[in-house]
Amino acid sequence: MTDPRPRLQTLIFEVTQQCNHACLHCYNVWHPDAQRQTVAYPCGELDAAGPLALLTKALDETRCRHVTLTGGEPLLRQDLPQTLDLLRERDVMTTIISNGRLLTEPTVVDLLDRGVGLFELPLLSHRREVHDRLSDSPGAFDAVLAAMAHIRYHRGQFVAVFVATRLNLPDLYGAIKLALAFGSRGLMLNRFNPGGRGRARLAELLPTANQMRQALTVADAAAAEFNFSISCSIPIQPCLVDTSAYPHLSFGFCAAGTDRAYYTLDPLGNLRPCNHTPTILGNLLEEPFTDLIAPERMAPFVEAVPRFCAPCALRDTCQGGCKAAAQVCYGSLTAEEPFLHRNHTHARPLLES
Amino acid sequence: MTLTRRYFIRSVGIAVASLVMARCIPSGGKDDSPPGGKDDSPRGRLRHCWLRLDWLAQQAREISSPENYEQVEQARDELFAEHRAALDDLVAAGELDAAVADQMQVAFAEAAFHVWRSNAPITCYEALPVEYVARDDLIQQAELLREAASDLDPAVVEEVQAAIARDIAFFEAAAGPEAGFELIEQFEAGEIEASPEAIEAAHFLVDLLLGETA
Repeated sequence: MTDPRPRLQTLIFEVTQQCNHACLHCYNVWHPDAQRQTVAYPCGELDAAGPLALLTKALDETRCRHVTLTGGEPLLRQDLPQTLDLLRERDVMTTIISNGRLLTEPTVVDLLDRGVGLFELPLLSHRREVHDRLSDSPGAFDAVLAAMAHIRYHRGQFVAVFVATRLNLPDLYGAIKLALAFGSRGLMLNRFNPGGRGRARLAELLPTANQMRQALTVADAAAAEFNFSISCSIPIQPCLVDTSAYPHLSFGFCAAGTDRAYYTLDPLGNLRPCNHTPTILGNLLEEPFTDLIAPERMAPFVEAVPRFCAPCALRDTCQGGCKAAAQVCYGSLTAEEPFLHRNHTHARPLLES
Repeated sequence: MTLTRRYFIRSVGIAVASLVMARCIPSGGKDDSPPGGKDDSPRGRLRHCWLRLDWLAQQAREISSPENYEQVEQARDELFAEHRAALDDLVAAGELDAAVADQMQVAFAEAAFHVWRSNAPITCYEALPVEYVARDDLIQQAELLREAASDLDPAVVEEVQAAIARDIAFFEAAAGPEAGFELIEQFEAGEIEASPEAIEAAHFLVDLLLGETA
């Protein structure tokens, strides 16, 4: 008999909203200036038993084999080991997204023992001052490199995440080489996607389409030179950047509503279509997972496409980019998200033939 | 760090996949054979599922749209089901213990997932870890580290250098007569946790693919 539970490729669990860094590009939806909503995003977290109950329910009600633990900074949550033990008992693969600050050697060893399969760690430049400035946290660069070294030494795996902003784009090649030197298994080249605290710095940080093209040229050449896996998971609209010109890079688009979606559970049990949107589908402690992701609830998010994209041949794939960024920055899921909005006069037509 | 039961059989599955296809990268060869293969005995079907991992990798590489992505995921699931069905036939025929069959299914599922994940394109926040590091990559790493070292914390650099040196030494040992000794020592020291069923599944799998039980 077919298992009727929804299949999730991954579930993102924001274990805490607390963070020990103040990244300029942070997209966490609970920051006060994160959204143009009349109601502020709910803040807080459940007590010690809460995360276990939440995850147990999520895993019971879905077919999910991979959970990404993030925050805020997930290592600030004292009961993180218990959460990891639960995931390990359930044979669920685990990724931790961290800024690396608290990943001391004993902590790394403990986390690897508890089954963490992958760490995603920021590497925003090969230059200390640039990484620390973007993290708004002195010492961040040295801390994350130490974390990478511990993971490398203890046979763990990590990927470096380079958030591409106007401030660090010239450092991309140096960061790629540094990531490789430390044994990174890949690089996530994520263009800055305004949201959260980052919304206030949109003009300062958001690269132009032309700047992204130059960065992609650098990344594509480096991927070929070093046989290194580089993925661009924040959508880059093909009308702005001809992604086929970079054959050594992987490009992703919004997967909301598909079984590749990365539904996001916040520390209070609220479920969202993704980690960039403040849209709450409902609370998992109050309703079954299947009801929360029912088509009628997901439809406003899934079906939203900017009017500008209506005639485009790639409309259904690209969906206009990141609609959550449009929602956060311009108040509507169908608005043009900032990267498109700021560059669309240079868009090449991709009309249906 | 000990290897858990799941990790033992997972490692076996991925290691076997790497025997079938070098570094889990598709060979580029054409596989036009039907999903079931020519030998329709349960062992033949089982064996064919493993050989089809190359086809799965190729399909994953050719994904060009979300619809296409789901088709390939479906193909992967069908491969799981075919593998499970062949195992069930062997269990029903009394040729395989059910617990061993379960372990073999875990090995195959992990191998297929690894092959698929290593070749399919990514989506938002989905990293693409590659679980193998070749010796050339380590030498490249060492050179890049040397280049960057002057501006970094010497203790951190030293730690990474030690890891690289250890891994290069492992490659060199793996090519020599001592190959495998470290693993055996780990196993005997109880650092690798594996159930009897998992060990039997690993033996069965190796024999199957070497043709001794086919």
